[in-house]
Amino acid sequence: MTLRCPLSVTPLCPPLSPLSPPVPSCPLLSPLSQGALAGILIGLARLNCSELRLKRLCHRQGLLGLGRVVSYAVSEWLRDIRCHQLPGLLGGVAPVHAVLQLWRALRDLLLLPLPGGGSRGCHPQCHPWGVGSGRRLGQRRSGAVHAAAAGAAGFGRGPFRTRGPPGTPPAPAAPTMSSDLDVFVGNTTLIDEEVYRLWLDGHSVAEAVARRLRGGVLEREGTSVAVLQSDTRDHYRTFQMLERLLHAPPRLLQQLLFQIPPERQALLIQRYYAFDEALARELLGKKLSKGTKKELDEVSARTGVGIRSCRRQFDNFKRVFKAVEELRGPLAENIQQLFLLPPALARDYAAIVFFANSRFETGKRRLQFLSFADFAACAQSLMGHWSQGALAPEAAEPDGDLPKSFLQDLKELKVLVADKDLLDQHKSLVCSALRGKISVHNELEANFKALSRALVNVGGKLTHARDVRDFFVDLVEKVIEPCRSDKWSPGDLRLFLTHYTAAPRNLPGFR
Amino acid sequence: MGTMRTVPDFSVVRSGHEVQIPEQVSVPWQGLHRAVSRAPTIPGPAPAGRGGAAPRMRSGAAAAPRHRRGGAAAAAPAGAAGGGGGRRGRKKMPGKLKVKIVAGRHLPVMDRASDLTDAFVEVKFGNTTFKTDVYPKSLNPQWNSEWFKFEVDDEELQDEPLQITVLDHDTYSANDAIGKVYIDIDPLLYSEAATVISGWFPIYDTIHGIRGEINVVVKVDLFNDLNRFRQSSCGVKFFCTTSIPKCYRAVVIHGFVEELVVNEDPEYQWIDRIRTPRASNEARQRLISLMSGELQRKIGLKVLEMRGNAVVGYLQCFDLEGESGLVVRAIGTACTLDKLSNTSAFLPACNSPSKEMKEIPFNEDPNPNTYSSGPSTPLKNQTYSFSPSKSYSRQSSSSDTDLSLTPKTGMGSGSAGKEGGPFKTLLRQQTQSALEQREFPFFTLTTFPPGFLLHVGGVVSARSVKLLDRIHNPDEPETRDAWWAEIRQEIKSHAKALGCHAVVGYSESTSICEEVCILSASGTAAVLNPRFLQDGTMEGCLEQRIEEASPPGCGFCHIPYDELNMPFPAHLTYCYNCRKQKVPDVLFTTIDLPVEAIVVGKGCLIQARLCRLKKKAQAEANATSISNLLPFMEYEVHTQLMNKLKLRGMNALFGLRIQITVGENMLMGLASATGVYLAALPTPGGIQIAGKTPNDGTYEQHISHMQKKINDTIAKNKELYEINPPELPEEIIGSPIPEPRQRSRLLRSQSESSDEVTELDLSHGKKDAFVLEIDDTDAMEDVHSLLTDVPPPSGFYSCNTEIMPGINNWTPEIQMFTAVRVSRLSNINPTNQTLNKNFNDLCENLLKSLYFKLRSMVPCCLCHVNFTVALPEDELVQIAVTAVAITYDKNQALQANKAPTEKSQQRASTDNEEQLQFPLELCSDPLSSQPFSPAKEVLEGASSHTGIPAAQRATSLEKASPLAEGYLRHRSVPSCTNSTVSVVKMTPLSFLPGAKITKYLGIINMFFIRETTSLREEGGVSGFLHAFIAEVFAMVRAHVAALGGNAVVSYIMKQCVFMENPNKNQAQCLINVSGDAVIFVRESELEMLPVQPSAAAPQHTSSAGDVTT
Repeated sequence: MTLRCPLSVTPLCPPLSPLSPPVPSCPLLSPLSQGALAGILIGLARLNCSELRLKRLCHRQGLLGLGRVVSYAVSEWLRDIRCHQLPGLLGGVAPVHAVLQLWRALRDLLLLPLPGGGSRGCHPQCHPWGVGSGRRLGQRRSGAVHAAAAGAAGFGRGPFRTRGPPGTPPAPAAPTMSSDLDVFVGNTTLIDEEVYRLWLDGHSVAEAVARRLRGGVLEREGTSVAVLQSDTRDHYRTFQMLERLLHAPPRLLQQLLFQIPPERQALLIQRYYAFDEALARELLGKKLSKGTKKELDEVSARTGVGIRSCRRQFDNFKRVFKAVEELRGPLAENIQQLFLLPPALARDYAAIVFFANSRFETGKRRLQFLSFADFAACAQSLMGHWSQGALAPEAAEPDGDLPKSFLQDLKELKVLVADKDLLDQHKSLVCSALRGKISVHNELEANFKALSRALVNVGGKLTHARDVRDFFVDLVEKVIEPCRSDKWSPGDLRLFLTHYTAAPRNLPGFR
Repeated sequence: MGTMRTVPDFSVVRSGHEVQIPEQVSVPWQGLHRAVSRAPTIPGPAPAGRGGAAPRMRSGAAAAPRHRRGGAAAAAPAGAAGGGGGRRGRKKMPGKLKVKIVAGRHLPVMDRASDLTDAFVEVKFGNTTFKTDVYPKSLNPQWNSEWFKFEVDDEELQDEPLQITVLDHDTYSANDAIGKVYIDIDPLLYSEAATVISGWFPIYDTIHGIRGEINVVVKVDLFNDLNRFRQSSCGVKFFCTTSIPKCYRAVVIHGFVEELVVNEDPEYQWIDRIRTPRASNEARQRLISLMSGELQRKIGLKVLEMRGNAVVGYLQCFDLEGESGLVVRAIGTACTLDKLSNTSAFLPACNSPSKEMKEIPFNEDPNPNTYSSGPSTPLKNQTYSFSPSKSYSRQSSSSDTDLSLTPKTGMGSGSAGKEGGPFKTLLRQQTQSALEQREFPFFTLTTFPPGFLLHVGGVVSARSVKLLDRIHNPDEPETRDAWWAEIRQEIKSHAKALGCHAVVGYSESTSICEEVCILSASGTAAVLNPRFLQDGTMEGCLEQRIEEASPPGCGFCHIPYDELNMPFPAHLTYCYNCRKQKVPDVLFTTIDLPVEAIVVGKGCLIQARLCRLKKKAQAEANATSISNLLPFMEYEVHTQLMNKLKLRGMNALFGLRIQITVGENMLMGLASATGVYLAALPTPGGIQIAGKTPNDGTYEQHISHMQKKINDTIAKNKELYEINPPELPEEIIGSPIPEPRQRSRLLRSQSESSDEVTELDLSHGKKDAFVLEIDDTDAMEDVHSLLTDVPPPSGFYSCNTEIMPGINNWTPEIQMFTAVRVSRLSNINPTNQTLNKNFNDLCENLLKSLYFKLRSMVPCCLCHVNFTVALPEDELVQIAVTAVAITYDKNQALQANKAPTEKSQQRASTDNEEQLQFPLELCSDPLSSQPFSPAKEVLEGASSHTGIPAAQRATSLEKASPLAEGYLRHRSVPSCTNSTVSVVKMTPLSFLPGAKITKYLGIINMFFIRETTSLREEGGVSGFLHAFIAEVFAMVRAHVAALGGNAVVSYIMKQCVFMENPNKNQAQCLINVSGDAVIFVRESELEMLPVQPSAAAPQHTSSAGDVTT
């Protein structure tokens, strides 16, 4: 068979190119020379783990093989160990015998890298979580995910809403409201863009009124605070009623309840589905699960996006994800059709779905320099070149997944580095082609083998979901960082990759 | 009626006596003279004309219409005997009703396990029920049923609604109802209205609200030929519009029709204790639907008796009397209408100059009655300048002594219509005889064809307090018929006292609290042109009119009564317009401003608000105390109105509506009207304050301070409403009175203000001075409250009439809205003052929030602002407002101001008399911004302001039309993209600015009940009502769209009864709305704004593109 040229990583270059700004290296992560498991364990051990990691574990379980579950469990339990510290506690935590045994077996290994024995007491949350996950593990891959998820939801139900739209007027206001009914309904539904924005940002009525006051409406319109309050409340009510429809935008267009001009409908939808890139960047590649949703508090604090807004945006991501998960055809188009989003926004959502589906790791420190837009561009390239739709439109797999057969084919590229002759030929072809064209020719000559091996290995590993996840990490670590240390310019890299991709066509065995 | 017990019955009426009220104020009160007189007995039997009184609807509605059907059918011949013998012989099957259920969408999940629904549909009409197949496991079922055919008689067709029930099939338990759709098939029964009802209807459940939509197609095949058809009342058209509908012309305006049916309220039946709230609500909805169908049919029969073919100004109301029953009553004006057949009038692309002249009234002048005759007559313009000849007014003034109305109309008929075929003669004779029989010369219309209204006397009104538990035979309509007949008689006698033979702008209302019921009726006494009442041809009138070159626009102000024998004290002056006839100094009316009226400046909404405490009492004691309070309230409401009117420097009120609401421990009065400055009436004097205790120095100071404030307000208001006294029109029209004082307006206004200043010090002997005496704190409060009314923010105007006087350049953007507010008048020890203040604040705040909400539409005008007050509980006050905001073009207003110059130039050149005065006009031009008579503006503003861009338009039209047409098509058929719902405009007005109504599709009359047992979860009372009102709008729009219409005109929310029980987390609301479904064609987009469509079209297509891609 003929190998498709697998090295279409070229499109990755532009977004990856902003190498020039100094990137904080990642001293925490030791080189992965010791093997994946140890490396990850060590790396994770040093990370300031929170209970969130564990949540992720809950949901990964369903996807992974038992072996992976174990290895992941190990990494996730690291925190538990830190929390509980005392081996004696472990017995209580993990009542399931099998788990206990597993613990003991792994304990030595795990405890070793922990710095200073962590005198930090465990969070109260840790305890029940530990129990939950332990039990789940004991039940192996039974349908315990549901139970755990339910438990998580139950536990996570804080003082803030678990249900209902953001900005629901607080319940205590009910008695005063009951005596003061005040509604305004127009035949054409009035939409105040300012109030809509405030509502989307998750402000309560009182906050929204305060903000509007600060905006100087009173002075402009010469009205009273009471009027402003009543107006805001009216709008909020309308938006709450509209929210149900906004969850399925085509319904907004079909519904009869609100008469809204088409351009206003478009605006409502667009604004509702618009998202903060900082938030999207945080969530990129994470599983859009309840667990991640619980993490949002932290994300909100990091990104400065209001928590209600975070939740709404997260729900949007999840809704879009769920809707297109099983659909065939180009992701962006599906999204555009189902959610009536403008093309650019639909493409961004496609990127989010693609990342969430393949679960690319993007949260690593060494990837922090990449913005959402960078990843979105990567996602588009990947979808454009590697997706099912691009490769084999007739296949039944949804577009969000990387096609398995293609990834299998990628493996065969190993010949490029494994076969000495081929490697040399390849190298000479590329080097001769690039002679005088790039400034780092010497470094290229010196490192060609390493580079080529890194590239081919990154590609070849992709058959394992695990490695797919680390795709970007690997790419940055093994390709980009060496290049950067050699002071490659983005142009150099682009040229190199072009020729690197083109050269094998002239090699024996390739076409 | 059997043993009619003499109920102690307190009736408050107005007659010619003056009431002695503590405050000694001389009130030039037009036609509102009150007295408390005891109407000791209810007149015995129902009046003769009511021979066809409604057969009682026996049996509970829950027990189904089937039962009733038989009863009604049996009773029919007897009941109708008074009218026309066996005209309603039982013709089975005059038609076939065909229904097809196509599909559903967005159904609720009824099966929790599968998250799906197994839906099927029951279609029921009369006794027959069909079912569709079950469409399993889908929220978007596609039934695509066969045609279900119902063979029905005409009575059924008229009475019954088509009931469509969507259910969820359950194998093991009872099927769950998802919701229902009631479709009134009446519109399919007139030949020229809709032929098919087809579209998506919201599926409505009284507990859950709208639950998905269903697509239904309904058709009616009528077997009858037209003649037989006319024997039933099927062909009679109904219009809510209180003017002659746009695409018709009135051949004859026959007069008053009324009807009333009574039934037990299902809510109060014993079965209600055991059935579910849903069943109870549905029984109620169905019953009211049936009753209004029956009512409509009966009124239709009366109209046919009168040889009419339509009811205009149809007003149907429900009285929820509680235990004593449910009353549905309706009044209207029977007319013979002729459809304007030539379609060229509707085609927008017509550039002939004559056409333009014709279109002017449609485009620019929203008043519906600019119609005159066949559209192609060159006489058109004459109609505007028509005003009654002197002989007519003399006739009418002589009628004061004339007790009977018929001779007068007889005279009129004699003079009218000399020629005409034998058919016409026949018709005339018939109408004449009908006129003689006419019991009540009442008209529910508020606007009239030009020339119809000769003189306006003033407002007449009557109220009566009744005890519901004294209804001897609550299930029969006789008692209520008698009550209303009594009140109408009262009104008639008042009108007669004012020298008028007719009452126009007539309306009736009730307010019920527990067992006490206040019946109110009001209208405007008027003298009408009798020719319109009987002569079928308007052309004859027109020909006559050519000869009658008479002063325009002031005739209706001239007093109809005898100057020497005035029914009440009033200051009369010669008309400021024509200087020939006497006019009063103020004029109050319930009608809209006549088209031909000459108005200065702009109008404004004027409200009088009043709250009076009442002791809680039972039955008779309660009725007595209410009766005693009523005259005082009326008086105070009037005083307030008068003060506020003066404060705005205006001299006439139009569209006056006084609402007195009774609650358990208080009475509320709310009067709304639109104030205007009529050029024909004298300039109102200022308001003077006089203290009772003149010795106190500080008090004096206070008084003078207040006086200053009032004077300032008046001056400010004059500026705000652009009221500049109309001096010049007299010159223009060649007034015979030489007036040296008319040098320039500037001077005049100065002198006027100095007048006011001097009036301060002088004794108030001048005739137009209006004195407020402050004799106690009460009066002080009144004065204060006078000054608390804040004018609307700049860019806003408001009125409660159809059109805002003084604005004529509407742009097509409209926004109809309903706002409801319930507020607790929280006072432990309420006094009248605090209550008044609270109530006043409530109304003012409501208006303020409306202005704020609609600030994006500025400059705009709130038209037809309709306040409804209810007192649902002890200290709860509920105010519901429905109004429409219409934008207008400020720039064009300037053009319109300029335009009269040209116009008058033209006129001057043709008219020799005017030429002399013309230079003078020009001289005054630079002196004031409004040099010309605003009267002319009103008359000609429309024509002149189109006159300027006419040339542009001709060219721009050609350029823009293909695009615009495409746009129109796009707009009207948006369903082609299957995603957008067709836009249905709603307005309480009878017209759509910048658009032409091409077809009336039928009356929309809907009644909904919504109940919840999870009030908090639905967002509290506000959330509940907000959703419900939105749902009502949605259902109205869906029905109109299904009829093929794109707008509802004359929309009115007649009832909004809201009850809550927060402790039980429950609430219930009843809403009754009505209006006319129409098709309109937007022509302004083609003609006036060639840019807009091109800008809007891409937007639309792009959004549609978003959808389809």
